[in-house]
Parts: sequence; C-alpha cells; structure tokens
Amino acid sequence: MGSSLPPKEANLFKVIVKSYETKQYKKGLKAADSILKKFPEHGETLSMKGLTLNCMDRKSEAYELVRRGLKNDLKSHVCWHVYGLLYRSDREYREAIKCYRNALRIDPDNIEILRDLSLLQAQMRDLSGFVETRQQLLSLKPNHRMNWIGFAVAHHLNSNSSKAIEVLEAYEGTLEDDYPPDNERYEHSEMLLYKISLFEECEMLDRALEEMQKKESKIVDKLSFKEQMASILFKLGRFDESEKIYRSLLFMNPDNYNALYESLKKDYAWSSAVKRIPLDFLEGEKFQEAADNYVRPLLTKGKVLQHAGNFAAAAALADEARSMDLADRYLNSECVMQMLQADQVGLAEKTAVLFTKDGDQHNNLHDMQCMWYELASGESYYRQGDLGRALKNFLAVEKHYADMSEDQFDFHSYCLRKMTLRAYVSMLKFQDRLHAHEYFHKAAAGAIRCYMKLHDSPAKTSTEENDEMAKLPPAQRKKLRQKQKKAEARAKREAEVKQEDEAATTTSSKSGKKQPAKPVDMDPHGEKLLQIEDPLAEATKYLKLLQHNSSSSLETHLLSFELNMRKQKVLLAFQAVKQLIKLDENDPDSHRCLIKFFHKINTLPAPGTDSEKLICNVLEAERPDIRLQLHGKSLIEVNRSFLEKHSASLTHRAAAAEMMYLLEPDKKMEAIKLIEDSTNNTASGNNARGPVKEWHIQDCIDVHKLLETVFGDKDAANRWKACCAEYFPYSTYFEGIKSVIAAYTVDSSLENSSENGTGPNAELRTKEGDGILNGTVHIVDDMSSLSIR
Amino acid sequence: MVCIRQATIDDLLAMQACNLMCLPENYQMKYYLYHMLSWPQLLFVAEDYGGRIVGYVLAKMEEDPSEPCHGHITSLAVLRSHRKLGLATKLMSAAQAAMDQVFGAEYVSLHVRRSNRAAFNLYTSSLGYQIHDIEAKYYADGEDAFDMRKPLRQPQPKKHHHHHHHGPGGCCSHDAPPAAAAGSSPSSSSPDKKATT
Repeated sequence: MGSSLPPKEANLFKVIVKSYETKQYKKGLKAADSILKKFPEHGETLSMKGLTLNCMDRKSEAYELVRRGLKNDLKSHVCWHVYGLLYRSDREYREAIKCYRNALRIDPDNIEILRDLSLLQAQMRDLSGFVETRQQLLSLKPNHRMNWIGFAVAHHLNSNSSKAIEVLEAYEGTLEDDYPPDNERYEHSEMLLYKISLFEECEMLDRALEEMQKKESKIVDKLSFKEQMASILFKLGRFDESEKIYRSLLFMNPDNYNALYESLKKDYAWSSAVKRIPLDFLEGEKFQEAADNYVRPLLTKGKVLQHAGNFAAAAALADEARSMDLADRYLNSECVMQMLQADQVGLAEKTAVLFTKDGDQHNNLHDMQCMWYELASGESYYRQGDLGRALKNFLAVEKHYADMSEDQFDFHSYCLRKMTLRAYVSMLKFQDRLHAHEYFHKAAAGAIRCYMKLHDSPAKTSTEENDEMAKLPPAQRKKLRQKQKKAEARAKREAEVKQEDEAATTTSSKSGKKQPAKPVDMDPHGEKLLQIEDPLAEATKYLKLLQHNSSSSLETHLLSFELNMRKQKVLLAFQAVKQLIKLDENDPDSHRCLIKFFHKINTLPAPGTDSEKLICNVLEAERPDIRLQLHGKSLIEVNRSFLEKHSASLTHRAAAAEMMYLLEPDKKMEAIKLIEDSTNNTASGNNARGPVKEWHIQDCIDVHKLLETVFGDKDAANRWKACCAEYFPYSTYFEGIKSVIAAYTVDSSLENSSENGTGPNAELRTKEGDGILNGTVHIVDDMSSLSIR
Repeated sequence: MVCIRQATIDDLLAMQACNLMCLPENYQMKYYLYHMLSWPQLLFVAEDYGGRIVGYVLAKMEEDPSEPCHGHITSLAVLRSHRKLGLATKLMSAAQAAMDQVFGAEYVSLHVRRSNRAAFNLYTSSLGYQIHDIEAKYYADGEDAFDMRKPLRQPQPKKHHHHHHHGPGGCCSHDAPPAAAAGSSPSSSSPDKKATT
C-alpha cells in the first residue's frame, strides 16, 4: 500500500489508513491532501481520500475520487478494495463483490479483502462462494479459532452439516484437554451446543447423545442442554426419560404440564416446539381477576364503539382513559391508535409526541421503527385521499425492513467471535423470511394501492403545473424551470444550515454524546413521491416482494391482478386469477377477478400482432384448466351459479351483482335489487348475550361505496345507508341515530359498567335492550386491526 | 393463560412492538438483535394464549473487564392489559437465573426513573434490589435514575469490587442504548432519545 511513494509520503499514507480505521476522518483528509499536493494523481491516495470523504457524507465527491484513483492505478488491489467498500456502504453488494474479486485477482491472499468478501457472500447468501472464501481464510490462518468456526458455519449454511461437524471436530483436535480457560467457558459451551444441534440435524442422534454426556461438564447453558437432551431422547423414542427432563424444565407450574406435553407430542414439529418451552404459566381465572378495573372499562367501551363504527367516540373515550394516567405510554398508544382509526391524524401525532419527543421538535417514531403508527397513519391518509402522505408512511415501513435486513451485516463477523452460532444461524433464517412479516405485507400492499390510485388519477398539482407550463412559450418555460430549480436549491441549503445548527446544539447537550446529524426531510408531505413518472412500475417492485414472500395471501394475487390488468399484462393477470382460484375460489374477490378477466378477454379485438397471437394461444392452451372453473358455461351462467351457491351472504351477493352489471349492463336494476334483497340474518351459534346479526360494518360500507360509485345510483346508495343506519346506530359513516350522541355523552350513557361488563368480551347494549350491536365484539388485537380496502 | 419462556429470534419484532406500546425508551431492531446474538439466554417473553407477546425482558452481560462479572436489565415491559399478574417478577426471575447459571454473574444492575414508584416497588419489595447509587439527570428530560443492584452470589474473592458509575450511555430498564455496536462493528446508530413522561 502506498508503495510507489517516497518514505515521507508512504508514512502519510499509513496515517490515512489508520485515521480511516479509527474514524478520525479530518486527520486522514489532511494527510491525503498533503500527499496529493506533491503527487496529485496518486491513485491509492485519491481512492483513500474518496473513502474518507464518503464517511463525511460527501458522497458524490467520494465516488469521483475513488473512480479517478482507480483509473490512475488499475493494478492496485487497494483501489479495487476501496471501490468495493464504497459500494458496500451504499448497499450495492453485487457491485462490491465484483470489486473485491478484482482486488483478489491482484492480491489473492489478502486476508482483509477475503474477509470482507466473505461477509458480503454471507449477506447475499452466496453460500458456495462463502464456503470457498472461508476455506481460503482457514488455510491462510489456521491458528485462528474464528477461521475454523467460519468454515464450519459456511458448510452448515451450504446444507452440508456433516462437513460442518468434521470441521468442528478437527478444530477441537487442536485444543488441549483442559480447554477452555475460565474466561472462554461460555464460548466453548456455545460451540459444543452448536455442534450437538448439527448432530441432531443430521439425525445422528446417538452421536448427539454421546457427545452431550461426554461434554456435559463443559456446557454452561444448562437450560439449552436440557432442552436439547429432551428433544434428542424424544426422537430416540425414549419418552419416559424425555418426559422427566421436560418436567424439570417447567419449574414453576407443573400442573399445566400434562396437557401441554400431550399437545406437543401430537405436534409434528416437536423439535422446534421444544425451543419454545414455556417455563411458567398463569391460569385464566387469575388473569380475569387481575383486570385493571379503573381504566379497562373505558378502553373496553372504546373498542366496542370502534367496532360499532364510531371511531370518533372511541377515540374520545381512549383519550379520557389516557388522561387518567398521563405517564402511561400504553394508554397513550391506545389513544393514538383510536385517533388514527378516526382519521384524526394531526391530533394523533400531537398525542403521540408526548412520549416521542427527541430534541426540540423531532418526533422519534420513525427513528425507533414504530411501524404500527406509520401503518395506521398511512391507512388513514389513504382513506382521506392524501396519497403523498400515505405513500410516505408506507415506504417508511418498507425502509425499516430494508434496514433490518442490513442490520445483519455486522453480525456475520461478530457472531463468529462471540460463538453464538445457534442464534446466528437462526437469525439468518429469520432474515430470509423477514419480508413475509405482516407489517411489511401491509405496507407493500398499501404502497401498491397508492400507486394504482395515482395511475388512475395522476396527481393534480403536477399535471396542472405541466398544463400551465405547456401554455408558455419555450423561452419562458425554461426560465420558469430554472426558477423552480433555484428555489429548490435554496430550500435545500437552508435546510442544511438548520441541520448543522441542530447538530451543534445536540452535541453540546449535557449527555455529551454525539448524535448523528439527522438528514433533513426534503419532502415531509410526500409530494415528491407523487411526481414519479411511472407509478405502475413502482408498484411492480413491491408486488414482486409480496409475490416472493407472501404467495399464500389472497391479497397478493388480488393486487397482482389489478396491477397487471392496468399494465395490460394479460398473461400475468391470468396467473393471478389462477392463484386466486387455487387459494379460494369461493372468495367474492376471486370471483370478481375471474369474471373480469374473461370478460375482458372476450371483448378484446381479434389478435393483430404476433405477440397478441401468442398470448391468445397460451390462453387457449390453458382453457382446459379453467374449464374446471367455468364448466364450459358462459360467464353469465358462472356468475349465476356463484350467486346460487352463496345467496345467503351479503358480500357474495354484492360481488355477483357487480359482475351481473358488468356482463349485462341492461340488468342494472336487477343487480341493485339483488343487493337490496339481502337479509341480515341472525348469526348462528350460541351467543350468551343474545342475538347478533351477521353483517359486518365494513362490508356494509363497501356495499354502499359500490352502489355509489360502480352503479352510480345515488337513490339506491341512500336507501342502503338508511337501512344500515338502523343496523349500526352508533356508526358515524351511516349517521346512525346514536352516532352523534355517542361522541358527546360517552361517559354518561356508558357509565353503568357493570351491565356492559368489564371483561374482554363485553358487549355494548343499547338502552332499549333491543338492538344488540352487530357482530361479535371482541378486544381487537391492537396491531391487527389495521386494514385498508 | 400466559406463559413465560425464553425468547426466540422470531419474537424480536413483537418485543419491539410491545416496547413501543408501553415504554418511552425505545430501541431499533439492531439493538434487539445485538442482545439476542450476544446473550440469547437472557431474553424472555410472556406470551398469552393467543400467541401474542404481552411482556418481555431484555437483558445483557456487562463486559467491562475492570468490573466484576455482572448482568444488566436493559428493558422490561408488560402490556397494561396484562399487569398485576406477576409477569414482570417472573420475567425478571428467569433472566436473573440465567445470568447466574450461564454467565456466573455476581450481581445484576438496572436503572429506573426516580418517579416510577410502581417499578421501584417491584424491584425492591418483590425482587430484592437495593439502591446502589443515584445518577443525577440520567434521562434526557432531566429526571434522575436510581442505579439499583441485586446480588446473585457471593463475590469471588480474587476479584475486586469496583464502584463504577455508569455514564448516561448505559442501558437500563428505562433507558435508551448508546450506539448499539456489535462489538467493534461499525455504523450502528441508535439515535439516543429519551422521552418525557
């Protein structure tokens, strides 16, 4: 490194490298500049200067310098390595790997570069490459424990557990008998437990057992030891011994043990269940007993109201509960959630910020990855038609998942040192299915809906602006554009100054801890997000993630259908229909997609181009498959039999009516009548609190919207609303008679809590005692009550 | 029914959600990962019968070699809907037992807001913690913290017991972590925030 420089400069070069490693960037920059004064085109110095600037948030300069450095010294592994590090810092892993490979071509045994490469291979799950690199590292430095462990883990990840065991045993062969010393007992114990888990994975159960017995004294994690022992004995069919250990694991409340053990025995995935052995239980009655009597009634009533369709009143109640204990964030969160449900986003933010203030103004909900809040805000904005802010929130959640995925990077080396190998491997598996998590699913689905809506009705501001621009003569248009650019630049500069000021104040705060300067949000309302050229292309990115991670979700394929129909990707839309039918052919939305698709196909003009002919041929070839669904019937007949099959269900009737109108527009009145003739039956099943009607408020709202928009029949919509106002007297949407009162007299009318009950299943009774509120009222899971339609 | 069990990697997202629901001191996912990948034995959850995480304890070992080996409770939370069931005590006991058995901790420490009487009572009356020190203005809003400790076993004679004062960077049952660095690993920004209650 820096070899081509005279001694003084070569020393300075070492200073740059050292300063980079110790994060003394200013010092490094100074050293680089003094070399460059004498040798302005020295490649490695230019590269290192670029890398240093990259850490000082001067990204564009960084790339320029690093590229220039490389150009000046293509034969330098330093320049290639630095280029890789730069890409790596921007999460451009594939590019980074290419650079490392070039560096290694020049210096094949460079341990640092090999190590960096191995980290990226682990990150990218290039597992065979990972094995190869770890092998090289081991052969270069076999006296390092980490290299043995790394090689073993690489084999394990690459589905070669028995090879991993061999490597670990070879490593153990290098150890003295009295290993480990006191200060490495934990690490060694973790390694042994990892090895035993590998035996178990390879079904080498006798070896596993033997190893456990031999090494018991060296294993400090006795709980894991017992769990694993119980699991292995169980798999060996030694149930009594297994049971004995298992019983000892439940140290507090063995009464619950039998039922649990029996249920676990039936569980096919017993060995994974054993990892989740409960150590302690609480009985149901005690749980009821302990109900928090003074806040819970309010919260319960609030949730009941929420389910009855009166979000504002529910929010008011939650706010009252909150006021009883302002220091309790749980009550604050509950309240914020209700406010968001009631579309009071501003109020919700003001309330949330009581706990999330960071510095003077900043709200740390985003920094702390508070996803339920962002999702609920996004959904509220979406309901209110504010697509910019909705998108902003959905994409924020998406970003959290990208960050979490990135989080694993540091642990590839950390865990090899710490020896927490079982936890490491399970973390990698967790990361592989991270995007299947429900918050991600909701955020991606929300974003796709926003983009589709944006496509259907492009953002007004931008089109209007463009219209206005178009009217201007070219010279003036240019001037206006320049003016806009200038204004943007000015805003950015101002924001940066403000940011520096803030950074200065936070650094001098009493804690004395340096806070990373927060990047200024240039687009707080998501307006820029609306200015994209091709919303459907954006949506496709998120759809792919859903298809890859949530393929068993109906919603994924519904979105795929809607998106691909808009993109006129007939075959992809067809795939979506096939998936929907496979997942649930009785679902009203599946039915809608099926009919819409073939209706569209039937009304297409005869194929003209080759590709159109090709599509036609493919669909023709698929017909036999679909015939299972269509039974050779016309779409009208298919729709009719769907209706007959599900005639008792409101949502199915609505779907059939909508499709009837699509297929036979002249039967509009008949279709509307189909909806209006639906009956709200009493739900079957025993409900201790009296009869409950079947219809759900959200379904009724959807039907109202259907009548209003698709059918465009105001009268029918109004009739529907009046009818639903009776079923849902507390609903603000339907303006039920109690909806207004509820908002103001919540405490008085709902005060007699003994009648309403305080348990989690309390029902809300109206005074007349006749109209038991519709639907089963239950405490909704706080996190799962979010949905958009 | 609620059960107490060791946390798995799949619980971390729910633990973070539970933390954000209940406590003003929050952490990014990386900090949870850091705990899970450093001391997987020290994380426990309370799971209700629907499989929902209603409480957790996040704990760690302090690794400063100048101090005797001891554990530290980073964060403890139970949803309000599930309080007064003794869940916090059980979670704490489980973590403390693991600190003792797996890592040989001599004592366990934690920080608690001076005003948090409920938590203070739990730690003193139910769990046997004592005030070791008071850290003035420990929290960003200016509130003091009690630095509390509970001995787990007799101190080992060969080691000296230092009275070390944690800087505000320490993490505690009600405090945010400093840079959630995984050892010497770079770039982990856990913006340090503390909230007003």
